[in-house]
Amino acid sequence: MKDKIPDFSEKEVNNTLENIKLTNSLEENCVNIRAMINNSTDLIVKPAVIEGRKIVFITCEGMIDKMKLADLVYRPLTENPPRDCHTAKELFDKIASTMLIAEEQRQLYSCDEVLQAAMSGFAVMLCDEVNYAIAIGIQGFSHRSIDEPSTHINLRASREGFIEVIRINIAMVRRRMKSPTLKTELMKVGQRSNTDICICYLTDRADSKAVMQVKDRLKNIPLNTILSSEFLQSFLEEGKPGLFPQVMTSERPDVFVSKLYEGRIGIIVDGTPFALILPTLFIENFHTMDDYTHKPYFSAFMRILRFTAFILAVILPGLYVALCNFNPEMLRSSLLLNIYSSVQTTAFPIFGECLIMYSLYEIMREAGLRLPKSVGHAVSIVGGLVIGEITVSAGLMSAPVVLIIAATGLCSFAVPDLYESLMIMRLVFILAGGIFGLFGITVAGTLFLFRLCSKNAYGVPYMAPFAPFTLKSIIRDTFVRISWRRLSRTDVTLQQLSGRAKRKADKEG
Amino acid sequence: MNRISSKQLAIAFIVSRLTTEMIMIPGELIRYGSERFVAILVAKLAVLILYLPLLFLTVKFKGDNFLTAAIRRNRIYGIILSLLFGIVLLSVTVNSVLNLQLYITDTLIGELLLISGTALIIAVALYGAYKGASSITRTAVFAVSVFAFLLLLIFVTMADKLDFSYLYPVFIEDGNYLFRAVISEISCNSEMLVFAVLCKNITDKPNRAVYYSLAVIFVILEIVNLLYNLIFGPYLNELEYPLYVISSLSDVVVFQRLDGIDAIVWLLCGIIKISLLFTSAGELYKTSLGKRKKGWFLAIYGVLTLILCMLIGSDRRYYDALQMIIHSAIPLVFAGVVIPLAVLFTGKKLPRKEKENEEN
Repeated sequence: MKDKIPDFSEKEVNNTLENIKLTNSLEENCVNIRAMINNSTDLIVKPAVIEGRKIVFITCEGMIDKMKLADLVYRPLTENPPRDCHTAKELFDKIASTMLIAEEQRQLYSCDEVLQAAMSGFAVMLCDEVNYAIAIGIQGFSHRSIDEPSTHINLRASREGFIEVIRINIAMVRRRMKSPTLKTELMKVGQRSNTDICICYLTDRADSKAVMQVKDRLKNIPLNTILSSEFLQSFLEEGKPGLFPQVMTSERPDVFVSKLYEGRIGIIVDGTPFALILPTLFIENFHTMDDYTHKPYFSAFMRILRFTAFILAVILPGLYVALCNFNPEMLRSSLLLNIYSSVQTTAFPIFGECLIMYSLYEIMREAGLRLPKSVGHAVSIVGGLVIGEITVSAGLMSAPVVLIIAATGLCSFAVPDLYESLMIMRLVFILAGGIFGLFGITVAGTLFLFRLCSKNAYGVPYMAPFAPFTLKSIIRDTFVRISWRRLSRTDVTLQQLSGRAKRKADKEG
Repeated sequence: MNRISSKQLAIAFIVSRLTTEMIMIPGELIRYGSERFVAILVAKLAVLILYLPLLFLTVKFKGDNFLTAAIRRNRIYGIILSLLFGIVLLSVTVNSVLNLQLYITDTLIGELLLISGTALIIAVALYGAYKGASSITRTAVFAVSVFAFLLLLIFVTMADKLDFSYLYPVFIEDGNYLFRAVISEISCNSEMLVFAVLCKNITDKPNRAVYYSLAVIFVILEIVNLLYNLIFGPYLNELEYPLYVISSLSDVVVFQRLDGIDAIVWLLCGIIKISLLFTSAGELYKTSLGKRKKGWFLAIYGVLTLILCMLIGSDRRYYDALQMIIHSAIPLVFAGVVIPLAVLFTGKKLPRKEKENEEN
C-alpha cells in the first residue's frame, strides 16, 4: 500500500467548532474543547474543587514544565486557597490576580483560544459559572540545547546557533542587540499548524513600507502547515520563483543581528533553527561572518576566491566542452595535445562525457547526503575509486573531464548558499556550450544576467551595488571590505543602495 | 514604467556604440587608420549637433518623449510619426542582428545556420526587452566592466607589438575618405533613436546621458583607434574585425589567444544593443496605442525582425543595400533629427494642472 503524501497546500479547514465562545457552564466548555480536539489523549483535563467551586486545568502533554505547574499553580491553590469569595467570578479573579504569578498570563474567551494556548504550553484554568479562562505561561517542553550551527561554520565568530524554540531564538537576538528600536512581533501562520513566527526589525533602520509588505504577505500565506522556514520563503520572494534566493537563511544569531542593523527584516520560525532574512543581495552569498573578524586584505582575498570559485563552478565544464569542440585554437598547444590524446581513447564525445560525468557526480552527492553516515563512506569509496579511477583506466571517460567535474564540484561547495542555482546553471552551460559553443555560452550567460539584473526585492536591486553602480558601497563592503575604523565612519542601510534614500536626502537638502 | 538614471542609460549607450566598433570592418569605411582620429572627433561634434533637437525636446516637454508630445497634439499625428520612427528602428534592428550574426559566423562558430543564429540572438534580446530597460542597463554595467578589463588585458599582452612608426601623418590622403569616415561614424550612433524614446524613462536630467556617453565613447574610440594604428598601421583596412585580430594575437597564461573570450563579451554587448532597440520599439508601441503591457507586441515584433533578417540575410545584395542605406546616416537623421524637430514645433505640453495631478 502506498504511503499517503501529506498535502501542505490543502486549504480546507474544519470550521464547525471554531470560535465557540466560552459559557458559564464548565461542563459544556469542557465538552466543546474535547470535541474540538476529537478527544485526543494528549489533552489533559484535570478537575479540582476550590472553595466549593468546580475548576478545571487544561494542559497539553509534554508542553508544560510540571515543576512550574506544581509550584506556581497547584501548591498556592491547595495550601492557601482564597477565602471570602461570594461568587465564582470573584474567586476566579482573586486566583488570577493574587495567587498565580507567571511571566505570561492572559484571559481567553473562546474554546479555540483555550486549545491554542494549551497547545502552546500554557496551563489554562476554567471555572464553573465564569465565561472566560485564564492561561498561565508555564511552557516547558524538551528541546535541543544551544549548539554550534551545522551550516555557515566559522573560525572566529560566535559558536552559538539558533535552535528550534522561537522564544530562545528571540532571546539570543535580544542579547546581541540591546537597542530599544529592535522590535519583535509575534504572529501565527499556517491555518492548521498555527506556527509561531517572529518578525524582527529595527524601527529606525528598516523600511516601514517593506515591513508592512512582509506582514501582509505573511498574513496571506495560504498554507495549512508550516514545518520549516523555507516553506515561507517562496511567499516572501518578489515575482515568479527564480533560480537565485532572494531571501537569505541563517542559523547564526550574529549574522541575523548584523543584517537587522543594515535595515533588513528577519523572521524566526518556531520549530526550525533557520531564520529568514530579507531582502538579500546577490553579493552577500559570497560573504561570511569570518570576513569581519579577519583582516580586510585577507577577507578581500577570500571573497574574490569565492567569487572565482562560483564562476568556475558555473562555466568551467561548459567552457571546456565549447573550447574543445568549437574553438580548440584558444587552448595552449601542449594542453590541447594532452586533452586530445586522452579523448581519443574514450568511448564518448566530450559533450557526452561531460554530461554523464556531471550526472554521476550529482547522483553520488545526493546518495551520500541522504544515506546514513556509515553507508555514506561506502558511497565515497565507490565515487572516488570506481568512478574516478576505473572509468578513466577502462577508457570510458577521459581524465580531463573527471578532473574538471571534480574541480567544479569542489568550487561549488565554496558558495554553499548558491549550490542549488549553481547545479542548474552548470547544466545549462554544458548544454549551451555543447550545442552552440562559445556563442551558446554567451547566450546562456546573457539570459542569466538579464534575469539577475531585473530582480528587485522590496525596492532594492538584487545586483546592487554593482548594478545600479554605487562606487561608495562597492569599495565599502562587497568584494573588498574596508577596515572597521573606516566602516564605523559611515553608516549605510540597505535602502540606500537603491538610490532612493540618497535622492530623498538630496531633495530635502 | 521602467525608470533608469541618466548614468545607467549612458553606460548602455557606451556598450551599444562599442558593439558597432567591435563588429566594424574598417576596409568598408575608411582606407587609412590615422585619419580616423580626426573622423571620430568631427563625427562626435556632428552627433552632438544632431542631438540638439532631441535635447531641446527633453527640456521643452519635461519628462516626455517626442511621441507623447505629438500624441497630445493629435493621436493620428502621433501614430503616423511613431510608424515612421518604427520603420527606421526596425531597419536598424535588422541591420544590427545581421551584423552580429555575421560576426558570430566569422569568428566563433562558422557552421552556424542563419536562422538559428538570428533566432537565438533575437530571443535573448527580446527576453531582455521584456525584463525592461533597467534590467538591460544594469546588465550593461557588467558588460562595460568586462570590456574595459579585456581591453586593458589586450594592451598589456600586446605591449611588445606596438609600433609607433606606424603613426603616419593624418592628412596624406584625399579628403573624400575623411568625409566618408565621418558620415559612417555618424551612422553608427543608433543610440540616438533609443534616446528619443527612452528619455522619458530617465529619473534625473536626460541630457546627461548624451553628454556622458558621447564623451566616454570619444575617449574609448580614440584609444582603440590608437591601438589599431600602432599594431596594424597601413594594413588596417585589409582586416576584418581588427580588435578580434588583435585579441587573437594576445597570449595570456591559460589561453594561447584571447579572441574567443573577447568575442563572448562583444557578443554580450551586441545583444544588449539589440535589446535596447527592442525596448524602444516596445515603449513606442505602449505610448502610441496607450497600452500597459508589451509582451505580445514584443513577440510579434521579434518574429517580424526574424523574418526580415531571413529575407535580407539570405541574399548578399539585400544585405549590402541595407548596409548602404544605414551607413548613409539618412535614416538616423530622419528619425533622430527631423521627426523630433517637427515635434519640437508642433508638439503640445501637458497642462500644468494635469502635470501636478500626474506627479501626485
